[in-house]
Amino acid sequence: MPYSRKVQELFIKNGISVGDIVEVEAYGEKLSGVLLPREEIDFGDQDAIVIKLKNGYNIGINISNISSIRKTEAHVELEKFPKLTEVKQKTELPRISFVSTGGTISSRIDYLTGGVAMLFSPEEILNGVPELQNIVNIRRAERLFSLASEDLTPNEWKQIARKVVEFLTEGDEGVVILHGTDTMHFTAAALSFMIRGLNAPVVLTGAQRSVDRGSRDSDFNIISSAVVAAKFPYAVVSIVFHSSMSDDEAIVIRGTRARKMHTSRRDAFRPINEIPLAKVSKDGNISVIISNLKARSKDTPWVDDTFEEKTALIKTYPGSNPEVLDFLIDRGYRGVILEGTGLGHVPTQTLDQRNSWLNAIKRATDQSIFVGITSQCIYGRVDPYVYRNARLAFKSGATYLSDMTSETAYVKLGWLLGHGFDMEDVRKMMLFNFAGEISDGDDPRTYLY
Amino acid sequence: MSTKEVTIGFEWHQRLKTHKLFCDCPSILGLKPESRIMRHMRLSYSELGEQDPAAVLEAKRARKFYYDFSSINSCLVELDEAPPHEINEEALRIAFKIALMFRMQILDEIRVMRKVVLDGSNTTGFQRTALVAIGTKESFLETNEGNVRLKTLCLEEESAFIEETEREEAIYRLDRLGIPLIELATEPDIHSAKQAVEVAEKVGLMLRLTGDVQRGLGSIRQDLNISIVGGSRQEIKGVQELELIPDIINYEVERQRNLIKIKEELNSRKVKKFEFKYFDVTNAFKSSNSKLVREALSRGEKAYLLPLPGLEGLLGMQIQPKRRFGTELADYARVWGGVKGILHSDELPGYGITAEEVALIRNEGNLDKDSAFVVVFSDARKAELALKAVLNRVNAALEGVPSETRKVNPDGTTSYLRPLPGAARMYPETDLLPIVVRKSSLEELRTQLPPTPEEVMKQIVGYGVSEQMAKQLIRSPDLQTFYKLVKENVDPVFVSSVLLNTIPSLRRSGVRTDEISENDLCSLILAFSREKLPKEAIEEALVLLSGGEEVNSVVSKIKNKVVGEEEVRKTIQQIVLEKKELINQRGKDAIKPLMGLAMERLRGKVQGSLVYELLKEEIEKVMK
Repeated sequence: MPYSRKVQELFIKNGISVGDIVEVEAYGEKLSGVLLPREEIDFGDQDAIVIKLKNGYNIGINISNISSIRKTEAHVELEKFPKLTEVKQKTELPRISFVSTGGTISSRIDYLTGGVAMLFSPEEILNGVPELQNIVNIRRAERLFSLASEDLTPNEWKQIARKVVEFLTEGDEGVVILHGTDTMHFTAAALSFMIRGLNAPVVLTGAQRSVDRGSRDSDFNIISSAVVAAKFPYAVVSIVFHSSMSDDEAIVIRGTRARKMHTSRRDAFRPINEIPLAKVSKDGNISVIISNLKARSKDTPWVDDTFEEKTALIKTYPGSNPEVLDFLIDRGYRGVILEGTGLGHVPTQTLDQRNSWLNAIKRATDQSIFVGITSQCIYGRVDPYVYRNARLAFKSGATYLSDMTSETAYVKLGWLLGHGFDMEDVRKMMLFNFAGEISDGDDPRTYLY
Repeated sequence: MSTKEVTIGFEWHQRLKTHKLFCDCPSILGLKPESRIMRHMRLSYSELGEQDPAAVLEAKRARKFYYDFSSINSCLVELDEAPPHEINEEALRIAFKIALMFRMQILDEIRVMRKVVLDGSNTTGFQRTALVAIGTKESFLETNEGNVRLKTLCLEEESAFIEETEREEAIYRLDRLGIPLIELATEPDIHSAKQAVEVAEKVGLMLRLTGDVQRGLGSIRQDLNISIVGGSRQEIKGVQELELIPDIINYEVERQRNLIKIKEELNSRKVKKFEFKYFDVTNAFKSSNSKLVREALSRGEKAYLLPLPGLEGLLGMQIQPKRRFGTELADYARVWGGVKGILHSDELPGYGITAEEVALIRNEGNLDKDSAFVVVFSDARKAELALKAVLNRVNAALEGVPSETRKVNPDGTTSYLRPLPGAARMYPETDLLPIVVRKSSLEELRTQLPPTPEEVMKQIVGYGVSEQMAKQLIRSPDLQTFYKLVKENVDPVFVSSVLLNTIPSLRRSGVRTDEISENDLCSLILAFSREKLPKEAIEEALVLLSGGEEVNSVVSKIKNKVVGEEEVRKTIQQIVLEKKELINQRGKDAIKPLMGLAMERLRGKVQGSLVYELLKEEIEKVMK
């Protein structure tokens, strides 16, 4: 919380502002240090002034314990970032560009206040991760926005898609997108559908640890991503991230098959119902695992970024109320992904009929609103035939979406609906493989990979 | 040493007896690790701005850090795979208690910081630490040589334990990482070794009296800051044994005095700052028979020479017991160049290197007779780093004593570890909220402060324990055990005698008393007290217990041996009969030798006091 009015008045009275080196008399002792701002939301004591002592520690002293405060001549500039060193790039290396959208990975810390700022340029990337000098020639680096990924919407996906296509059209051999991790897999799926005629690798990566620390995972992720953007022989959208808790291997996950599976671990991204496309060793060697992918080409990519905003992703659970679906129907939604249980079940033959989703599903599909079913099991394929309940839902018009992840299904549905196709075409296309998002394979290795 | 020639400050790192500071893992050490991860440590961005990216690149390739862990005492927090949990309330409370005990001022709002550490000893790349209290005019320790002021008290997380370290990689164990410790620092108010020991003993004792600190090897570490007039401040790390403190201080004073002498000698020889020049002198060793040389050459290493004109005779000068000026140079070569060591002119000929070879080296380097030199066997890159470091150290000698971080050797001398750290880079731990200290909780803690050493002393003596025993007891690791038993109404004199005499004497004679757990020991002593077993039998019982026997079985064995009064009287009557002549000669005084004889036959079966009473009666009967 910022300083209380009382404290602010004390500052004004003594002509003091944040960044000043002040001498404080408190508890009968003289203390001196840099006066720091208080964070906006820290649940602390707003009446306590925060100073950084000479020994580096920050402390808070309640003004009731302060008998005097005095400004010295000295002042420290806060939020000042060190100068960057000029870097000569090797022009013979593969040319790639970077796009930043925000998130942990593209922030920098002010070591005095702990404040985080967003800065972005090729120099900055190269200063931060000097290994890149020997891997790629960074042509452009552009910051589109500085948003936490949970704050992104389909509108931002479109902007990212356009920027990537712009860069590829200008001749880049690959593009790396720095992104917040929470919804990175949504964006990866969106780009997989929205960029058509893709001719080179597009890689999304991020960080699970803050970038100020020596143990940050971002550098390894960026290096591995640059390697994939520069050298991967296939034109595919992927997420490149730590393979394990060690800094020794990254995995390349298909953009439509990725999911964030852990809140904090650095190996949070895992492929779902597929194994990784490739692995990248820490020496920058790629071992391709899945090779029936579209090769790099001289094609000209283009953007097909329509998206129907009236698309929803909801979850059914014991006691879930189908009125939620009725509400969406009434609000003019064009399509809904229901994340059911098990093989793709929703409450159907409940003892109290008001809990059954059957009628709502039927009502939706009767109005040409698409209802797709995925599973909250995350792993495995949904099946409409094994149990009677699924058969009933299927008969009511729901479409069973095979082994697609719920997130990818949502993105794909919004994208398809944006084109204005009729219900029957949407049904067919939802089950058609556009970007590796759906398959008939049941590779046992994929579970908990 | 004169009182004010030397100035010393102390820093204690004491582990607390509670679970880890920022997660719920128990502070258990020594479990077998079941998994390993590998990490690299990256420089921080602000450091990058000040460095050539190529140099940064080089630095980054440097080291792999392996972390071994067991999931019993390490979780995702130690692995730097999850944010820290809220600070351990109990650890915070203990820190408050200790601060209050030393009459320090607890801050109103405590803010956890990240102190940058890139040597791999913290998986995060920083150590979490918080300044909890500061010294005021009230916070000082009284000593016979004046007051020593306390400066700061921090609560921080312990680092990982290093198992192996090489230039290219290091292996750490995570069990220790995150154990709460307090860092207590004094102002540099100490001026003698004696005073230093007094302060260290006092603080150690006060910390132990809280009952809230870990015991045992490594649970308390002391750092000493020592400087002398004309010398400079040295930070001496990781002093574990109190007994070593006087030696460390005396040797350090000696070292600084000798380095000042070397400086004066160099100045009188008019030696000027050296430029860095070194030569490949592998040729001089081509036909050497020295094992050291031949092995180095067979590894493909070369010999590099650093000439040091004007230093002849100084490299061999002893500056601490068994350590010469050349040894200091070798420390620098090892730390900065990663070489095994150096050879210097004052130790040659030697190591199988002949006088002829020395002449050849001098020839190759074009050295005159006043010139000293250093030779290192290594590859070119390491040699350059090593010799440059040596030269920097020599140049520093022209100015006097360089400030350094040094580590303690087992004999109390010290070796160079790294340069003195600059102002530590610290920035806020953004994953945690500031801690607002409530006055009411402090007031409550004030009533729970541990007694002072003087109060404890008084109390123990009040139990009837001798002053000397009490002094021992208060310093002994078993003080808490003593209190526990006394609370159960066991005779305090008996308890202190078992803890301070019986057990140590058994240990000295090879009985593995360390194998006895505190719980078993307490149960045994308690049983002796409740069952009124003969105190003399405790020795035998302890031997059985240390052999792994259960307390119950030990107690019943001792019980079976105890004989009734009738039987004791019979034995005594027997003795009196045998020694009737002695009684006739010496009368009542015969009781002393007869008591010895009786105890020999009855030891462990009966209380000595009963034997004495019966013997007295029987002797009196005979005398009538």
